[in-house]
Amino acid sequence: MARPSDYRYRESHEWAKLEGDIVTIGITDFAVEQLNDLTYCELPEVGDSVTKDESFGEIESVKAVSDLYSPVNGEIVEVNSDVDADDFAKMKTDAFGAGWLIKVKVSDASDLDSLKDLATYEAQLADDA
Amino acid sequence: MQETPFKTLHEEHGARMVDFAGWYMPVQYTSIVEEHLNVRAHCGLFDVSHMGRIMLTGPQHIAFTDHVASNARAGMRKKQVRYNLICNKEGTILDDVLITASAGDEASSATENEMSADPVNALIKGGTMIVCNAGNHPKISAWLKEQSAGFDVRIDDITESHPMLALQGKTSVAILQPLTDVDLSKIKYYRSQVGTVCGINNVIISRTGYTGEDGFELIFPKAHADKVFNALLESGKEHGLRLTGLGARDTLRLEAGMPLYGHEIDDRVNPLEAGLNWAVNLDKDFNGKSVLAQVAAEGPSRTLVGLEVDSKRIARQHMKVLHNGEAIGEIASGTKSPTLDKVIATALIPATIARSSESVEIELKPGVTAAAKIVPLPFYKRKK
Repeated sequence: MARPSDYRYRESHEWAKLEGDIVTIGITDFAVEQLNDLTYCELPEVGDSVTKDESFGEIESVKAVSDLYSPVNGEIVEVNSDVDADDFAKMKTDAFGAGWLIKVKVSDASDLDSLKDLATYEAQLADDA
Repeated sequence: MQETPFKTLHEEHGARMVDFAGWYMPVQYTSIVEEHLNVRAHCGLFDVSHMGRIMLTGPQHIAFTDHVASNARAGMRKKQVRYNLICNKEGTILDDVLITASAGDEASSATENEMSADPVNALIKGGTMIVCNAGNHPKISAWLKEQSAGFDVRIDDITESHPMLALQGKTSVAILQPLTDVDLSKIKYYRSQVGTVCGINNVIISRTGYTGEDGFELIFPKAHADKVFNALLESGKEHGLRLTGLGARDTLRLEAGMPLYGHEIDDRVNPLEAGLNWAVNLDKDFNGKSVLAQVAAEGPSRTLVGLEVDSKRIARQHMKVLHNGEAIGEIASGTKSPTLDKVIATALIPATIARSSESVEIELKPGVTAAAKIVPLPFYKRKK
């Protein structure tokens, strides 16, 4: 899977895509593959707020539970209904597209500036390997 | 970390490797759930070389075994395999093991020369084999050595020289039979046979396993590691054989209600509260017998129960078990059962509650609980 070069990446493997004042957030193909046997995902509801660098939910696999970290401050305007219903198929086949997790209306898009670009994220993956 | 002779093969097959009890082992090759379901539907091949394999010979190998382990060694049938517990003097469990009796008469023992020539002679001429958990191997080795004082017994550790593979699933006979001259239909469940496999002599074939399926465990010299591994994979191609890692091994054994040391049993648990009274023979003397006789007379205060958890989250080891809001124990093991498609778990709880209640609650995280129905073990039983 080619990773989008116009997305921003958190070192904890979340990705963020800005369109106007809406940021779509998901987790990368690397994270999906590492988690592997996904069993459950807890996501917030529309109207909840998220805080930069704080957990907005949890994703669980057979092996462990992992927190999902928000890269931005804002308010949830949409939640992926498939993932909410524990259907992880799209996360596996299209982690950067249909496998998104939440959409957040942001007040300050410059929150994304502190995130990594694709090259820096991929360098991190290479370092960790 | 210690490595098994199959390390390179695992890596070549794309295994995700981890440190398990100090051994470099495959936890999965593709997906834990897929590998698990494949064992139930067809067959899986596991590297279980990390487990300890110890041969006992000498005039008192039987008496020594009966001294250290709770289940009877004397009187075992030839080539029989028995689940057994090595206990300390307080009656709690140092390890759960499989003990194999030789094909020889009970009074016989392989000689020192025969053991030096081939330690598998312990199962041919006379002796006892103990297979123990990887994590407890150093502890058990030291314990056996210490306990052997006063017994005329010789201890040979063949873990490093003789790796072990497990073939588990309904197609295991079809996969192994073409590779051996032993008539596998003659080896009953929990019996063993020494025979030729892939042209290699003196291979130990044991109809045992840790998955709840039919299957075999094979022990042979490490020089033949690649040969046997590849021959099994080749033979298994048309029978749905897949390499299977320790992740699926754990979910399979949990469904089958089999304990895992460090979870359902450890050195603070006695066999009777863990539901293992069938592996305890109070008609003989052994380490911990007097304590266990007392527990048996009074009834154990705790019971190991199975739980079906009404939750999407997995109940994991150490999560609190509650009854009427009060903490009464902890989860020993938990997972989402691939076969049953529900969250299952085990826990040691007060015997009175186990007898009188239908359900308990699990604290999945602070402030979040789920109801759990108490169910008998095992969760899964294979169709005969």
